[in-house]
Amino acid sequence: MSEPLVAVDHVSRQFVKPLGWAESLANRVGGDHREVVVHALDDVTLDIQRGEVLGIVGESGCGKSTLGRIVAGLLPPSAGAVRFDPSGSNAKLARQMIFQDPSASLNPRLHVVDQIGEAAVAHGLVKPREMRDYVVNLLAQVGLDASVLSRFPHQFSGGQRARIGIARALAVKPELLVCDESVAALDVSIQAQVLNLFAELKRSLGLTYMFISHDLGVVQHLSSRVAVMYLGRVVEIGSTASIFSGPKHPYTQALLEAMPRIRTGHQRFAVIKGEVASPVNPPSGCHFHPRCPRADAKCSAVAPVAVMRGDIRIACHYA
Amino acid sequence: MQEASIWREKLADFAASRIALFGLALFVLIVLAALFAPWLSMQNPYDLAQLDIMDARLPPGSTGGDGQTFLIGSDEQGRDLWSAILYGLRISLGVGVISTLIAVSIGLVVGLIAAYRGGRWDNVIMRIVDIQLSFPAILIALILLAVLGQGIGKIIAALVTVQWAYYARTVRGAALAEMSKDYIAAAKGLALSPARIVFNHLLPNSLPPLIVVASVQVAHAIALEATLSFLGLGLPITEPSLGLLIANGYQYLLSGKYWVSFFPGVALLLTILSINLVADQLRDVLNPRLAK
Amino acid sequence: MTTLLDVKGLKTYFATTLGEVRAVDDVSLAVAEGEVVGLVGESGSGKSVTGYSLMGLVDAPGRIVAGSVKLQGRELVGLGERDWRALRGHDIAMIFQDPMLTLNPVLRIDTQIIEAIRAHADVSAARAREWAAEALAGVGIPSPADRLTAYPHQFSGGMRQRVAIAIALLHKPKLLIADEPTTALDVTIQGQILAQVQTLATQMKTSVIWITHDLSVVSGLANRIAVMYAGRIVEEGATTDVLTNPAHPYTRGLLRSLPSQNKPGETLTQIPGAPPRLLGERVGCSFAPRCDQAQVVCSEADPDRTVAANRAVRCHFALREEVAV
Repeated sequence: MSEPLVAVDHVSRQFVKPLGWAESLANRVGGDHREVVVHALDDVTLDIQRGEVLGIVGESGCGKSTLGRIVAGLLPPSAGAVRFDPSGSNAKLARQMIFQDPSASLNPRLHVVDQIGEAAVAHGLVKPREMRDYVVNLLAQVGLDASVLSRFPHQFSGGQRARIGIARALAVKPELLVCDESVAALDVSIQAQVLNLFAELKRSLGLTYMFISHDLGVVQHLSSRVAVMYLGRVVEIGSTASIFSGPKHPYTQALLEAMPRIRTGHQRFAVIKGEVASPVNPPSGCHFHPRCPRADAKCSAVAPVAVMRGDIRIACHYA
Repeated sequence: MQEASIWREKLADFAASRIALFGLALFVLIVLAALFAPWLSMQNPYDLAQLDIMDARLPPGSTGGDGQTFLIGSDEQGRDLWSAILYGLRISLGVGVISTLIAVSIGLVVGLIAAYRGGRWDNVIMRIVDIQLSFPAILIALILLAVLGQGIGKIIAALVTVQWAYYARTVRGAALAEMSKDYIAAAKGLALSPARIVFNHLLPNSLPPLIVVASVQVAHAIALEATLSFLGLGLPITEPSLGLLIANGYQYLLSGKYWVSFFPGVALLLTILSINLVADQLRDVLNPRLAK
Repeated sequence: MTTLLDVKGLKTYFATTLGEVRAVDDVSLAVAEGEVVGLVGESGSGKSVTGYSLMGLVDAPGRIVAGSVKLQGRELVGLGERDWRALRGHDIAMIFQDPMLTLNPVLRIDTQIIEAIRAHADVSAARAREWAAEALAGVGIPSPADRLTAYPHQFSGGMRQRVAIAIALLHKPKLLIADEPTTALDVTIQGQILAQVQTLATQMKTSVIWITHDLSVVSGLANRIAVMYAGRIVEEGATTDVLTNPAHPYTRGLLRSLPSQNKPGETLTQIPGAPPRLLGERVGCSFAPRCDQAQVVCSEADPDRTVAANRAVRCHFALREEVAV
């Protein structure tokens, strides 16, 4: 196998809410205020191969967005390292993020033309007087025409804003797009349009994607490989086909069963008990053990080490 | 829709309130009156040679020694009150607007630095702001003027000193909210320079709350200047602002010569009222949470 | 089955500076006793406003301009606020996407539940407390007696939604209107809540209108599905029929645009364009500009609601099986 585009190597990330000065002062005189530490990522290791789509699924609090921001270079890891090895020269620009909320991810006071063209001009990819044509070209790639150039974000629908966000990322010729819930805010009929756009851009530009979503259907459709995350850890990773046809980890199985599908006839909803624990205070051993139907004493004591089962890597004592 | 449509829309929202339109009309009228004061008044009230002490404290409608009519009376130095009010407005508005502009600029820079740099910068700046805001504005201004002495420049300096902290705090709050939005993350991801992010992205989006606070604060500044002048700390008695005019007539109020204080008082009231009416509606129009 | 709710020709319009927005435009829908109806549509389709209209919760600038809503034969349109108060929470209840629309953030859970109990039942304080604990246990909240004294912010999003559901079901309402209550929740929690509502509604014989943008959520829950587009129900019928044999092009498009209905990796069938704005006169079929089967007549004449083979459709070219007699 060739060198991966991204290698995430034992990455952990904590978020610390520092004490305010009043609390530090209180501690000096015998107070007992502790910093709140959120363990967002706990020893995550995975690769993204050139030209593939790696899907990341998991529920809220699983750390998928944090992982996305670290891979996109927007956030440093607390421990471990991310190796990013683009073929082009500008490594900073070669990874770009596509955000969830199409309205908050565009500057409300910037014309579309500047929104998209600013970075390309600032980095000397195009000359200022060529910016307009450059942006028109990009707009065509995402399915918009030149008539939108001098409009503001609020004059667009959610789907159009998503396209503008994609064009802005494409403007700096990235090799990796990190899509964080990029279609979650869109209506079903619009979501299909944007998913098709992602697939088309992958073909025409040879892009690599890290596609983060809570929507298993979307991930199954777009990804070649999938990583399932739970409370800061990757519990299972492997080819989309293997994971969706024969999930090995009890959490993945529960997730797939709970995934809403078009099914006719009266349906009983498969249910796993409980809720995700707080990442401030994750459970001991295997993070999933309080909700796991198969858990025993070992699971609550020892965190499982990832092992290979066929083309799936899984972290469970009983896989 | 055209590009100017955001502002056209906001303008339409603004015009939806009649009382705000009335306030705006009144304010424009007052500003025009102040601007064209030399052409609207019958004398230059600051030119002592044009004053005649014999005309002092004449009631409204009286005729003076030179045959001129004192429309709304004269003050204790024989100034025509109408002219004095127009010239006083110039000083009051000028002082209010200039001090606000300077304070806004300082607050903007300081607030943006605090929000963008964060950490220690933010802590130090905001503690200074807290300390500044914990003293009553009038007290700080009084001490400053007592040390600096009288004069327009000095009163502006005093007003800037007591006001910049409001703006710094407002801008920091607004900028922090914007910092957490994804378009700033996107700008960082596109490796734009900090200066570009601050001036192209952060600044324009942090302005609306600042405009609202500034419009309210202009009225405060004018009122504060009037208070200081009333207390005799602002401007020299030869160039009275509205506050000083009120102070000068104050001692005659009980002797029935109401007009010396009354008419400058009305002028001050209308000025502040008109600004507040406009500011109120601006706040409603520019506040996205109240948007329809 | 007896009809519980009968909606006929409901129109709810909103007056805006740009003109009248026809959020709900001639909606007719019947719900039988004990039936679960899925009301499906994209944002702006009028599905939520329909729900609010049935609850008498449409506030200015919106108003119900025409139509009738009958609950067990009793006309609800034009009911006074006092009558509505007696009805809401007792005969009809609603849960929302954001449970904090139901819960007051500064009051303890027990205060809020007991208040809701005593609004419609004359019971002692001790009995009300017992009842509140039973209600929490009923929606699967562990150690309910302890949790009663908590504040809403001490609950997770899923738990808050459970509390809201418990409050809605206190008086065993005849009709529950659920407006996307699981949309903001994780899939495993969504599964738990769907199961809970399914069980409770069956036990209490409560009819449910489940409003959602997600066809797959209601596919396993609803007996019948009504699909809304641009303020109207464009297709309505038994869940199996609608899902396996959609008659309206919009329903077909919606189904085909779901990633799970397509082979992984293949291009999704997409509906071009975006939903219309609901301003001004309706000329022709609202879906015509996005419809791949639109003919000249579609942009000229507004299709009527036609009922055949237990299916109501608004389309000039609805796909129909030959009805065997």
